[in-house]
Amino acid sequence: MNTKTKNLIVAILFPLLLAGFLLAFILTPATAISESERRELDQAPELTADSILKGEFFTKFDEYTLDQFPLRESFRTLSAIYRFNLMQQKDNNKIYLSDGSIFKLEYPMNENYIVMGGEKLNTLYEKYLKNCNVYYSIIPDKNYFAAAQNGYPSLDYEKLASLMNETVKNMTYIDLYDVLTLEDYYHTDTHWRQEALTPVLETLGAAMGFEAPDLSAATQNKVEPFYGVYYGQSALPVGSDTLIYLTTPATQAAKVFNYETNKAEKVYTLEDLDGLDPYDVYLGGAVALQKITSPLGEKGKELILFRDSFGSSIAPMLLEAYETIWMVDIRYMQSDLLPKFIKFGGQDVLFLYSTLVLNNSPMLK
Amino acid sequence: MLFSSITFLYFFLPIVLGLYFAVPFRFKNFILLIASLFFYFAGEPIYSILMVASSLSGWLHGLWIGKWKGQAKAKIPLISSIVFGLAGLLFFKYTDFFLDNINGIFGTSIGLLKLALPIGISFYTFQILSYTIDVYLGKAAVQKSFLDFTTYVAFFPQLIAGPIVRYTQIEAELASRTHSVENFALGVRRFLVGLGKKVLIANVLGEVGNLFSQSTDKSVLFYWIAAIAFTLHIYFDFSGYSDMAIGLGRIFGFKFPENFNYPFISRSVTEFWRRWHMSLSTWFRDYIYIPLGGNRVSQWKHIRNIFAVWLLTGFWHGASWNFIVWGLMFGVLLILEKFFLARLLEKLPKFCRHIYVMFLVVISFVIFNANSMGEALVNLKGMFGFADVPLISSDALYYLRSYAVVFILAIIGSTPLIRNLGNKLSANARSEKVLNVAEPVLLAALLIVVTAFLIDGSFNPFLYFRF
Repeated sequence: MNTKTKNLIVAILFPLLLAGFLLAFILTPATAISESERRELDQAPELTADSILKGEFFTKFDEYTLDQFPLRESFRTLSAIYRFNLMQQKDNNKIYLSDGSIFKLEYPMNENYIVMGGEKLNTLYEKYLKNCNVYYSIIPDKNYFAAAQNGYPSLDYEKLASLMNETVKNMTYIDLYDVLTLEDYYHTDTHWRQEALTPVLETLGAAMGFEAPDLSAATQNKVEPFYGVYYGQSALPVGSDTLIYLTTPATQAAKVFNYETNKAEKVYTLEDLDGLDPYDVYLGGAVALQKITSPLGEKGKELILFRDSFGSSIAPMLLEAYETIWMVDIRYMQSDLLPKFIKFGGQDVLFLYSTLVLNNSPMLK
Repeated sequence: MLFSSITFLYFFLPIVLGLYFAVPFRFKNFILLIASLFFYFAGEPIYSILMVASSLSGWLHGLWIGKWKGQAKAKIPLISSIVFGLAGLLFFKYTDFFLDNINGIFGTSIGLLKLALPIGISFYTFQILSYTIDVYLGKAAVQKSFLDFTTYVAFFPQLIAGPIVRYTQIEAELASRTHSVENFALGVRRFLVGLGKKVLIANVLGEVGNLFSQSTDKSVLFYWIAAIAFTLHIYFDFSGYSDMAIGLGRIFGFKFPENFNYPFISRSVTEFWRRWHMSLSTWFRDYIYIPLGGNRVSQWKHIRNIFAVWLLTGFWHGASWNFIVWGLMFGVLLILEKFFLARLLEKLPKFCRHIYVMFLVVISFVIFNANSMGEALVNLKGMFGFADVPLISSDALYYLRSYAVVFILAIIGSTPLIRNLGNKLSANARSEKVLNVAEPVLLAALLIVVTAFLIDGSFNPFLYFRF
């Protein structure tokens, strides 16, 4: 090919590519939701004199074009592949891959926040829990099993536990670090697998005085493919997970009351399997306050579970040990409001938080 | 509007190209003017009026100077044009700086204006001034068409971040220019290379700076990594923008002046400034340094002239003491080189001279990049081990590994190595054929990868927009 022909090709190809994508943009209907990123996509902004003069229209239009560009998912994948494979970047927007699993860097360690988290637990104890049997436990996030080992920046998990142990008073610490393994977590999600919680339940049961349920006797309900929260963030072509939710006579018989909606719900909200986050199938996902009543639980036993999203999948497996379980998520409600709903005294109380929450504890209200 | 945005690439540009090449020549400047006004309006709706008013002022002053051309009283419209031009710049860019310093010195509490800086005001003000001064000096003819003059000032490729195109450089092309497939293809290539420099290198190096700021595990090594990353970042960001501007100009039939010539291969600071932001340094040379007498005066006046230029160069970049210190630092270095250091440098091996230049350039950009002199000093202390940080930290090593390929690419890309290789291959008929096949494919791939980065990334404005 001579230079003249090359110039002709470049001069034709460039405007063709630009105009081609412009045409494709115009002809492709707008998408409402990005399932992989689990968020609503920006739609065409309203054109008003005010929005134009304030400069808002063009900013929103930029965001709209980014969200609705044709082949958007493929472009995101291309960008991730370019960064990981060609540029050899260790992470992309804090997401990294190791042994087929997707991780999100949790770093640096906010020592002040960890101490603040411990002090929050102390405050709750002093206010409401003096007459209760109080326990706390820390769920290591996935990075505990892979980050430092693969050269990624990592929290100092031992120091995190010691900071908590030095700060938290009047509660029994239940160590879960050694009973979990990387295989107990989803490849594409941040959470642990419900069907892998036997060692955790046994450890909690031994400390709190209940018998861990036999998870092998439970019915396994498989949902596949399950793409966890990191799948969309990574934009990489990795395999899917299988989400399993376990049903037992106790989970079937239990009733959940959601204080946010003031409605009775089921332990497994199956409609969420078709939603943006199928992990919400466990107790409907993030809810500030729920009360689970378990007719097959041990009579008179009550548990108050201060929890994050990990608590949603373990709570159904505690329904044989407790007749009542309060699910309290103080990321979404002020803890000062709790006495309006819960009469404190005599209950078992478990603070079960992942390192992800403790390292960002100002979110606890 | 950013060149590196989906809106520009896939909406604005194809529509403007389509309209521009569809109309006869007599309407082309009109299309460019409308497109340029829209381009500016999309980013600065209100300040568009200021930009048009500045153009009108420059145009009217040009007519006025032309009317009294050759007469002593022509100085009146010249001075008026300079006062009008600089008044806008001083008011919007420097008022708060002066008020802040007055408050600091006299203990007063005069309220600051806190005005947003109109994008590109430093660039278009200098372009307009170059026109009126050149008309006064008889170097440029009076432009009678307001449309053509405003097209020159507002022309979107160079409006907001240069290169500073002087009226005389495109005067003839405004009236008549040729369009060809070759020019179009050359323009596309230059534009896409600039886009790649901005999106694939500058923006990625910018991430290193952000990670450094957020890190709680700083070390001497990390301070140096951040400083080198910023030095490369600003080069790829600004030279990328200039490449895009020059490329777009070429597509529309204009030949803009070069703005960068591989500054990091310089062997002296004097050479560095002959290769860095050339349109600005030549502007100061021609409109400040030479009118003050340049080097054809006494030694002390010569030193004064150099300091005046570098004080203004620093101040042009921003209304902050760190920019003034940055400018004066180069003033001092240039004086030292001029009077004795240059002779000493010539005796050193080339490698040492490169290290000397790059060391000072990196230090200078630490001062440049800081939000205040206090912040600059903190970072300089960190680089030289005077901050309470270890020599190496795990964060520094991690990010060095993670961004190693980008650093290597950036370092190679800041030298003429790739250009020379291309020239060498083009000289051979056989390899030229291979290159001719590869080039369109590579350019298309570059556009696609850049698009992928833009869609996957976030907002990354050009660093020089703030000037």
